[in-house]
Amino acid sequence: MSRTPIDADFPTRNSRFNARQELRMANLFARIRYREQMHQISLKELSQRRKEIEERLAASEENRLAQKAFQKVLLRQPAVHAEDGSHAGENNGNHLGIARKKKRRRLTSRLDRR
Amino acid sequence: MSSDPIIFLSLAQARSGVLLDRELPRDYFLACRFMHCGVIDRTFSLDQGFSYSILDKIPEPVQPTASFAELCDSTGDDLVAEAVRTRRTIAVLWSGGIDSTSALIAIMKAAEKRGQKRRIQVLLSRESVQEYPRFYLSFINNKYRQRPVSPPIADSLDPALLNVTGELGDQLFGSMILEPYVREGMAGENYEDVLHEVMIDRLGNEARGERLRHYLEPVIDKAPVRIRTLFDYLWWLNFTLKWQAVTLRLLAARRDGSRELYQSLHHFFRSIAFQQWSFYNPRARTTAVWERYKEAAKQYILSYTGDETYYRHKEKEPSLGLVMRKSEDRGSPVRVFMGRDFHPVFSVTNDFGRRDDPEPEPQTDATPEPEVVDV
Repeated sequence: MSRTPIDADFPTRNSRFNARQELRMANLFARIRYREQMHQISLKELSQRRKEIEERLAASEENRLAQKAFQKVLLRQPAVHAEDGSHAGENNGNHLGIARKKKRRRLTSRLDRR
Repeated sequence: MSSDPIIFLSLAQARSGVLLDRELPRDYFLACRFMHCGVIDRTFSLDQGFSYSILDKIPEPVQPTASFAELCDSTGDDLVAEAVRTRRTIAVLWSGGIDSTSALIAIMKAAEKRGQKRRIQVLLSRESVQEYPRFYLSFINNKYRQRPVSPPIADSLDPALLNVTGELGDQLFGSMILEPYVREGMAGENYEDVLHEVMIDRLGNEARGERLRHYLEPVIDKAPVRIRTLFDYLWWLNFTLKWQAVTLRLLAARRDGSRELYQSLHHFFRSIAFQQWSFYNPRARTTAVWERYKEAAKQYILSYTGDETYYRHKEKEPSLGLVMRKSEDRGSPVRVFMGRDFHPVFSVTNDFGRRDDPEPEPQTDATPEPEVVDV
């Protein structure tokens, strides 16, 4: 029985195996190339890079913690708004989901009472 | 008002080419464009086309004995002593940048020494925290009173408080204009050899550059120290022509600006001693590497925080510029000037009224005008 053109395009078990094999080989070559490149970098340079990455990671973590701490300050004492003297966070905790949470709490307690 | 000497005008006002219905001289217009501010010449050697007065004269060239760190400490001490004497709170505008962090540290040190920590209030925004999160976490949060503010920061100034800013630090050390030239290695060269290139960079063509260079010569001649390199040249212009614009720009951002508000404003680096330090410490302010710009201030911060990473990597940023105006207002010019009553006079502005060059010349080497952040 001759294969239709559609059947010819359909991946056989063999072709899937070949594709996986090709991918494995490509990955392997990439790893080898990467190792070769790494060997060209001096140890000093490597430790310098590592230090920089660690510093960058620490800085982003610090920034996250600082913003979190500042957010608490903002909640207690919203930023003074420009012209009308109102506060940036006044009556609009919505962006933090506060109003939504309060509403849900009210609704839940009402249902509980019933 | 017409006879009242001017003490401040915004860049947009200068760019309009007109002040109080009078044409501004073309050379003056070019100087404003070059310096990116409404120039007020502290050496009194330029024809600005209008009557003006200056707030801070250029001090006598007397060699100071104190180091930068000692000056910071004594200024911080004086400010805390004044706050105690007048029973006022010190509100420090902290942008997270090098200058305002130095000022805040000096005040913190003095307040801790005198047991006056409660007298300090740190005015800060999200941007401030983002610029120096480690300092916020270790030295401000849970230790000092904080007052979150949102741009424009000028609206948060309270005349009843002693408002301290880190303004004028840039004028002591050099200029933000220098950044590309330091990075390209041009800043240390003789200014006469490279100025031509800088003028073309900033003004678009050679003829304007030549004209401005000639106009600014008397200012350079008035320098109490030798102006040799491009770094020296741009520092001196920033020191003499932009000082007053920076002194008053926060005040000019408020419609209700007044003498009372002006008197409550203390720019940390606005002292004779700091200016004299700047004259006689060219090595401390000049740098061949941009990361080392404001080295003395960074060392002062390091000695308090022990933060080597900040010391090694922190670069000057136009941090105050980010909070000077509301984000939606940035980019739209505000025409404003101020007489000796310290009350800003605003005029309606639109971009159609902007005059880029009163007498445009045929451009031989036209390049777009670089966007420089006004700091």
